[in-house]
Amino acid sequence: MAEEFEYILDDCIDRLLRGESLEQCLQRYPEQAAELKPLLRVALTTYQASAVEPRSEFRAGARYQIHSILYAEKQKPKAKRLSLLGWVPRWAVIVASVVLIILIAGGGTVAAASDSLPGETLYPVKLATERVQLAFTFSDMGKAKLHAKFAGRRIEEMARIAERGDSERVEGLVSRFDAHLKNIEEWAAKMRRGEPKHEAQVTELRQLLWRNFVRDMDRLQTAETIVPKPVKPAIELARGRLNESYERLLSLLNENLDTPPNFWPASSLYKAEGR
Amino acid sequence: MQQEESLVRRAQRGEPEAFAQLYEAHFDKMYRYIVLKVRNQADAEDLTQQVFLKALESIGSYRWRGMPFSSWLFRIAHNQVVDHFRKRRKERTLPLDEARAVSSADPTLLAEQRLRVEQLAVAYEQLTEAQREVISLRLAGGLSVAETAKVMAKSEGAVKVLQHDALVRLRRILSSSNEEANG
Repeated sequence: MAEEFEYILDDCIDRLLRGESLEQCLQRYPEQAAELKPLLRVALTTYQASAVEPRSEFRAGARYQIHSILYAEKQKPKAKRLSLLGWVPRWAVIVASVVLIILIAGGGTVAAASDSLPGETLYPVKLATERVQLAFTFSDMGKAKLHAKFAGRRIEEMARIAERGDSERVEGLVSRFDAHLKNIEEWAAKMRRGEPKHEAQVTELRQLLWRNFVRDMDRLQTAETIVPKPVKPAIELARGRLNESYERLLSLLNENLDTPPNFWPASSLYKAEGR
Repeated sequence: MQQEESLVRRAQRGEPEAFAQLYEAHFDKMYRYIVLKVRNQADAEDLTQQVFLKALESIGSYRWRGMPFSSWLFRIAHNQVVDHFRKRRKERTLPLDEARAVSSADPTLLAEQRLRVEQLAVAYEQLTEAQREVISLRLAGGLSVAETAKVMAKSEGAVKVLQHDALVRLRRILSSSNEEANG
């Protein structure tokens, strides 16, 4: 008898979960309706009360993190294909690659500088290259995108410098990062004045910046977990500034932080930066 | 089910799009299950993320046995929650209503829902561990009795008994708290 009731109760719960109403369930089992009703009400209340939604910021951040890992994993087998050169000593491959870059691009120093960090000999070359790129980009949108890209580089440098235990240079990078975002603000203000012609570009920029915001916060959070203890306050400060700067910029672009644009599964920028 | 099996196999072969689809399909369910158990938004967010990272790490060893993929995810989630409480013996909880209830534009309805959530959270705490697990998996996670039984390593009959007992107990607690509230 008890078993039969448990079966009926379970059947009704399944039906409620599939969207059937309480009354419909009770009509199926009129003999047990009196006993069923209060229990099904509790089940329904529990079901409704537990129907909570994750915060949109969390959803976007979590999605971005898993997405970054997924696509980073996907890129690994491609690296394996290079093992066709497995018989060549590793140092020879590196030397050959550098020579090839110099021969093809004539910019060996520039290429080598791209991975440099503040305090290193080639870092000024990296900054100079960025200034040249900005000088030869003539559209407002193009400049804004470049500043967004360089701001991301500053965050990456910040994280790597912090991981080395250098808090002073972290602070310097925060100022550089802010300067990039301020530049975007200027361009954004100009583009908004040209409405409605530039509306699509503003939207594109807003989505790009939102993606960068999630990525950069994620990068600093990851760094914070592994940096030496004395550097943690500097990284915390940097995260605060990053948050403020992006928030200010996104508000300017009429962004509502509660409703991030759906950027899944875009990650081209992240990958393009070689992360 | 067949489509899910194919997605799982593709994810095991390292296709990111396939894992991404599984992630999207199960993310909310996992979050609901965890938030009901830990009753703390920040912890629930961390644990939800850990579940999927763990799943990604272990999907190669997953064997398809005709059960929904979510059964496996819920088992991971359960283990994560158990570990979480083991690490933090002294449980720090915030009301469940910090997690966003399904939105309602009507403030009265929203207030009523919050009250229900608070009452439920108090009542839920008074269930046994096994009863809480059944309620979380069935009503927050949306698993069937067969799937719940599989996750909990119990018979379907045992799950039905636990479900019945849990609802009777919840009803008793909620009724008495309502009577107290009404004087």
